[in-house]
Amino acid sequence: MKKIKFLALLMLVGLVSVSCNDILDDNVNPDRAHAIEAKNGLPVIIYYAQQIVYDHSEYYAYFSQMLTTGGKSSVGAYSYKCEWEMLTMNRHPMWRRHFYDIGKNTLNLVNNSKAINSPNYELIGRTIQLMSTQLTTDAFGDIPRSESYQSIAPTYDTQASVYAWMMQECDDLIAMYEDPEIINNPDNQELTPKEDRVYGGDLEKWKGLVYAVKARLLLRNIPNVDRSPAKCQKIIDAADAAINQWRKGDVFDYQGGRDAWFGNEPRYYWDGGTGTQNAVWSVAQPVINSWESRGNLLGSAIPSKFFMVDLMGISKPDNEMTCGMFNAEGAHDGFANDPRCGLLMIARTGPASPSVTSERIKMRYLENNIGMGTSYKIANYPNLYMGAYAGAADAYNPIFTMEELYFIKAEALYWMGKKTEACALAKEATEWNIQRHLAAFLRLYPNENYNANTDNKYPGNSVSGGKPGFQPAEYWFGQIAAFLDNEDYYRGNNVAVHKVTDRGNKHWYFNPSEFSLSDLMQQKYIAMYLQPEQWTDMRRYHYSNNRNHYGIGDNQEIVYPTLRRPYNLYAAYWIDGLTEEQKENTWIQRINYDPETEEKYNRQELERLGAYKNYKWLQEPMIWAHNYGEVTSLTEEN
Amino acid sequence: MRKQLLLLLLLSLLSLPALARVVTGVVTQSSDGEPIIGASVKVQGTSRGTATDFDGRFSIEANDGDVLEVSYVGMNPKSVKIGAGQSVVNIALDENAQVLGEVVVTAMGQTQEKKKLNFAVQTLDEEAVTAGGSTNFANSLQGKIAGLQVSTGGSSPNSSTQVIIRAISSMNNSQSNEPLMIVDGMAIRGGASTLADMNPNDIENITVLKGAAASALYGQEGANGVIMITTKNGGRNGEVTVTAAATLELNVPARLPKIQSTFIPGAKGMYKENMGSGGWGPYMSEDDVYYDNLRNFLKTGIMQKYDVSVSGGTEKFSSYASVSYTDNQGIVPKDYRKQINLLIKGTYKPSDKVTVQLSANFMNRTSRGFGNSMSTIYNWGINKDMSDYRTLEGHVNWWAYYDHWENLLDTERINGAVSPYFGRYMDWSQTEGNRFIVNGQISYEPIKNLVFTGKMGYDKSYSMYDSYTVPRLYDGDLVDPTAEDVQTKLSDMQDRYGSYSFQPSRGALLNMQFLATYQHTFAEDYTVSALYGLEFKEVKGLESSIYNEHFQLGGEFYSFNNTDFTNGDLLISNHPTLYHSKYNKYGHFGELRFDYKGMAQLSVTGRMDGSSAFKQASKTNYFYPSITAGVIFSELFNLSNDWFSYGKLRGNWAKVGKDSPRYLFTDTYKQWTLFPDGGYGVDPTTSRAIDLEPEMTKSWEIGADLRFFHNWTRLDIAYYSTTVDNQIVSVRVSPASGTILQTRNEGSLENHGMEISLNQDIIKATDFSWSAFANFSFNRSKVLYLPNDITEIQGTQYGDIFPVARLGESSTGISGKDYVRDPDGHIVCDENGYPIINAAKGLYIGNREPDWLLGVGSTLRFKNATLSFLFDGRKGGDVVNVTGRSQITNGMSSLYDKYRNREYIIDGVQAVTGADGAVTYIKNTTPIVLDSYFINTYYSTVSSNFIEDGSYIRLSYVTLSYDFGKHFKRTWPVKGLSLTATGRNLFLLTKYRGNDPAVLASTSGGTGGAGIDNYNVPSTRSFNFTLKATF
Repeated sequence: MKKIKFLALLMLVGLVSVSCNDILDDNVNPDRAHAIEAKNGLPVIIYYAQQIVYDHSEYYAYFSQMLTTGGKSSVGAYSYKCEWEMLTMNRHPMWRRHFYDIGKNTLNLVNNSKAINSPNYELIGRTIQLMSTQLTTDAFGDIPRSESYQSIAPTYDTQASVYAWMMQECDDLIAMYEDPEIINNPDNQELTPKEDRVYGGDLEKWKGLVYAVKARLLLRNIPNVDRSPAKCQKIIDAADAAINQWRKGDVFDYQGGRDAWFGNEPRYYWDGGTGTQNAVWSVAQPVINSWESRGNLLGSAIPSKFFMVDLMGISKPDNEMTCGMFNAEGAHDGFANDPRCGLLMIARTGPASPSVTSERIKMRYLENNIGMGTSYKIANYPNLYMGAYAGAADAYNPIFTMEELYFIKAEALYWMGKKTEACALAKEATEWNIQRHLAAFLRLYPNENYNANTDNKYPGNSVSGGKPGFQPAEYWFGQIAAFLDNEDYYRGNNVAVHKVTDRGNKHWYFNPSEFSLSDLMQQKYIAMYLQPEQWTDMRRYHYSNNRNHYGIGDNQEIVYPTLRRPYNLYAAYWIDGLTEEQKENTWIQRINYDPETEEKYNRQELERLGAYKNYKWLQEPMIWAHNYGEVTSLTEEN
Repeated sequence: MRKQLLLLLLLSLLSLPALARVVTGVVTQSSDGEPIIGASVKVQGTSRGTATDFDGRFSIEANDGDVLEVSYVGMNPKSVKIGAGQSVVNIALDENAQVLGEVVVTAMGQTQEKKKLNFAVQTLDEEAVTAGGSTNFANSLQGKIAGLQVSTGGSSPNSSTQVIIRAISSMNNSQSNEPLMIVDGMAIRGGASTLADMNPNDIENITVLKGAAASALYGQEGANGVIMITTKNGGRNGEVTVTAAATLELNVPARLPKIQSTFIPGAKGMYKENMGSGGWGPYMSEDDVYYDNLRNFLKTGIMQKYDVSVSGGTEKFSSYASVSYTDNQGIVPKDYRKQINLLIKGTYKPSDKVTVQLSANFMNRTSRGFGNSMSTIYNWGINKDMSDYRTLEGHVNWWAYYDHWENLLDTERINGAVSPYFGRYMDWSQTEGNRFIVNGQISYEPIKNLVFTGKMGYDKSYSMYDSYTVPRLYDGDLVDPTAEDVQTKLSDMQDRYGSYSFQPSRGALLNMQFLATYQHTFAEDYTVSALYGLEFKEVKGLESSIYNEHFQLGGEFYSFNNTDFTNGDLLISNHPTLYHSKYNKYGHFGELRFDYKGMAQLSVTGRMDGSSAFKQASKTNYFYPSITAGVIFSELFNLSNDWFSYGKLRGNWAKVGKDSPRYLFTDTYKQWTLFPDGGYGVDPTTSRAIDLEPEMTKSWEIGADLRFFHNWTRLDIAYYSTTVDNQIVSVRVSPASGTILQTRNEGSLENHGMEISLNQDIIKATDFSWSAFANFSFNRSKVLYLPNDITEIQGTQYGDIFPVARLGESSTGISGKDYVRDPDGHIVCDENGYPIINAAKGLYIGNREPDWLLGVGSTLRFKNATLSFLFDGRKGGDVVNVTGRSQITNGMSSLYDKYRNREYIIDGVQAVTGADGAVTYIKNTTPIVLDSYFINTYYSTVSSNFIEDGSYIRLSYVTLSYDFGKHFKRTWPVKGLSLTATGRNLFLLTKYRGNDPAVLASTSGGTGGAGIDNYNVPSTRSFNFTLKATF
């Protein structure tokens, strides 16, 4: 028995000596950072702030019928560009962008900022989180919020409760931004453009973004929830607060070249710095990771007929041979009434018409998802790598534009009945929107000779035919005057640029006496080129057009008269079983939840909502897009 | 259970013997003098008895004149009378039959008689291990062990090998399914590929533990089975033996893919300028010269191996040392592996109570591989001489591929096609590896039957990959290198101006064990053995690389220091990398074993593991038990007769836990090049775990060991069922959870199957003996559960084909695309006779799991000559023929010689809709034309066309050897001389159209790369000659 006792004792000693887990390694990868400081986290969140704006804009440019593709797919890989067969798409980048790239990193940033008692980080992080939440709920509707990061399969909050949270967060953040103990906290780490290339850490300017988001949120009351003057005034107040906030103080302009009108509108510049010059909309088509983001495909995108003919007023729209050609026959009217047609894209060579093989330089366009004719190639359609955002690898991507604030204010004024003021604001915003793109254009092609035989890169001095020469500035001045004020531009006694009512779509958008909701919203639509509000506006106004006859307001105004549904929509979702009238009123209203993750790992929630593999879910309006009167509050359950 | 134990204790108390003097002795086997463990020694007419210990020793109280009765299963019992005053009685027992006393090494290096084991275990002796003569002996294990499946990545000396015992247990790609490799009782690093580092001639035997119960003491790696290798020891008879051997092996490519010899490159049957590969062009004209590029490229591989070993020793000290050199040149130019092995091993017994054993194994390897790079060779145009690869200046001869290089745009020239010969002969690369395996153990027996053993094993390897590629482009090759589009393209392809890569790495495994064993016999019939062990294991690794491009100075200054350090973009994309890894774990384990007369055994084990991979999990430790039982019913009930010699039934139940890969529990932060301003974000590409539990294998097994006709016929049968729950998988979850990729416990799979091994002695005469064996096994795997709507866990993608673990189907399935099929499975064609492709992806289209595996072998000895052979085969087991798909797609299959442009009727049906709307199917009779349009639209795009039946029968090896030693005089210094000739893979009968169905694309874990034919170096037929002399 002694032996057994000895053995037992030995085993016991052995057990005690090693059962302590301390001998186990830390299980932390020594060659990967597993903790960072707040100053390392902030640049990433700011970077993702512009990325989520891009993610949404990229989808919405197609949903809003501004861009289309050369094919006519009824089952395409990127079905938001064509046939709206969304359910088989594997993933939507904006979903992970909000919850992970912004959400998870902001969570860390807030914790890190608390740890060092430097709340300036928290303020900026939460502001971006607020905007990201707004973009996400306005795309998807109900989303996880209150249980995010606490569960593998968090419950979805209703859109109303998300709105309630956002409104409260706006107020909370504004209060924090105005709390001297927070903004003047002596422990606040000093932020420079190295950490914050949008504002260099200036909290006053970030406060403007909270007001701007608040204005955008309040605008959702119009026209379906609350059109009252009091609500309109609140919208105006919020927009004004943002405008004033951004116009206040010095312009943060370390990149240079910002016009004073834009004030401190938040812009993310891709000037390189310590990173790469790869503007998100540029021809570099950057992707963070093949599966983390989606590069812009402007290289294979085609502007829609709706955008080009109906809104831009392309030249000679009824003439197959000459439509979209630069009109230099006696006048320099350009490719379209709207000067931005020549600023956002470059005309390219291609067949003169579908039936004529000889080549011409034209601004071509295509109806949505109708498919190119057999004689056309993508390279015949305009090059879209132009304009303030897409024209250069070091361009900027705005996180929120000043024009949008003006249009928000104008829309509220319109609904208050102040149409003349609304018109003036819309006109001012449009003028500066043109200026925004013109500045980028002139940077790319400064003062070169115009040659109508090439393209629109070089408007200016004529080199052929002995026609009067134009300096670029004069040319653009003429175009802008004709467009904004509907005035002929004279050179000597000759009309050098015709007023818009004599050409193109023959429509003058800024006629104070006839200013309509349609004028306002269509001009906002153009000003929101490659910005995320186009589609939201369209949904708010029920895609109102001459085919669905959805009149808005007491006067039953049609907002986008010539808008039509894309061709070759996926029949099972969008055509089968619908009457002609139903079809015209059946539009995409939301994006389905990320199939790869939510359908698999949050299926119960999707089933609860009725969103699980259900195409009808795509047709469910947002709480702010129901018929007028059906929803009476954005923030309370209806 | 507890009652039985108490009864056992009670019985032993009742049988306490009367006191007498102590008689000791050793019981040995008369044939070879080896000690017999567990022999029963009993004093006749009394209840006094004992059992012999590990060294065959016994000690019993007896008086003068007493008769000791010694018995042991399979031996003729013997009675010995104790003489007056005799205190030492050594007894040698004769076998009453054969092979019954086989002692095998089991878990934790414990030696145990095979008859006392209650699980499936199979052993190969030295001869069986080396039979076949493969440089990596793992490659020729197929067919020798039931339930073991070997796949190889082709015939390259550097190709990988994968061994799976029974079936895979983990679905996750990052979880290995290969068995644990143990050398002399201690774990070594790596799977079957790593066994190529060992010299097969150093191996004394291999034991394969198959089920979870067999390896439960080993912990998680043992969940996949264990391959235990015992190296040779020195003798004890005071003599020194020197053995020298020389081997020459010729390897000839076998079953090469058949390439068409009719059509030159082009498109749609037309000539296309500057198209140098594929065969979709027109017929060869009289002006064209035909080149058999594939056969010209491959050559006969030659392997040489030289071995010298010395062994000798006494009872106190024995040692073994060997040195070997292997030079294995593959069939692809410059594909080689050279290896030096050195093993020194010594055993020292300073006293009866202490044994010390030390061994050191050193391996040095230099090699250059070829990888899965055969694609270009198969598709090179038949009118182009691929071997004319360089110009006189040593530049690329572009005309080996292009008709009119001068017509190419600069942007096309930049990535112009280069002959594979150029890479082989002009570029250089070498991997040099050094590996040390040091094992030491000391055992101490302070009191009888109590043994403490301390063991340490250290396996450390260094590897250096060093390579350069010479420039493909030189000044003058581009017309306008300054053009914007050319510059843009060049900026991403600076390697075309040469590149240099250097990748050192190291890995180490430290394994320490402490074992205590105790054995006690109650009365003479009941023995209790106890084992307690403690193990610590640490795995460390380091990998780094430096790489850069564009040699700056001309000439042949191919140095890293000559690459371009002025190009900022290159510096960003080629930044050096350095990664360390470290992982450790500990385990306590124990076993209690009860034995009754050597006829019935019951064993219980338990192991508690702690793993650093679970350091942050809610449970770091996990426990798992096993229980095994067996009874030799032939002895217990005295059933032996002339035809039935021996019978044992056994059964076991076990659980084994398996942890996860390391470093899963913390977020990592990454700085993407796109993040400006020094920003670090959470890295979404790294999978993250919130909490994890071990994967838990639960298995039960029943088996029988039956012997007939005086043990001439030996049959072992095992049936097992295994369920692996809590599969650790990485999945993409809702980002609202805070992770993108999450590693979690989800899913379970099941395996059940049977193994039968049969050994038959046919003739046993003085000059002639003939024996044969057969191994048969099958396994059926099934994925029982995957979470939510997941239908499969995918492995590495091959085009649109995925190896998958598929819900409700096999854990080694295949998914991809297929045609629309009617309810009877026929392909549905349209009205024009074209097959209709099912738009759905990810259809379940194949199963790589064989229906069954079979190995049949035999050995004939006539005087000094021995002939042995092995057939191995399998039924079923689909193979994905990625290689063949490429040949079909590119117009290079030899089928086109005969069938291209011919009309062909798809063996399918057409759908006919009746007036009532009902669909019926009629046989398709509309022909289509077999041209590039059809192939590339309707055939190549459908993955199921490339899933083929992998059934085969192979003559794995035939060996003929002759031992001249018997003719030598004793006075000659040469004691023995044998010549062995072996032919390997001489014959392969299979319907598989590719090279070899026992194929492996990669050794990845999870559902794995077995059964994927992805451009491996083709397998070979081998002829091996070995001359061996003993001094």
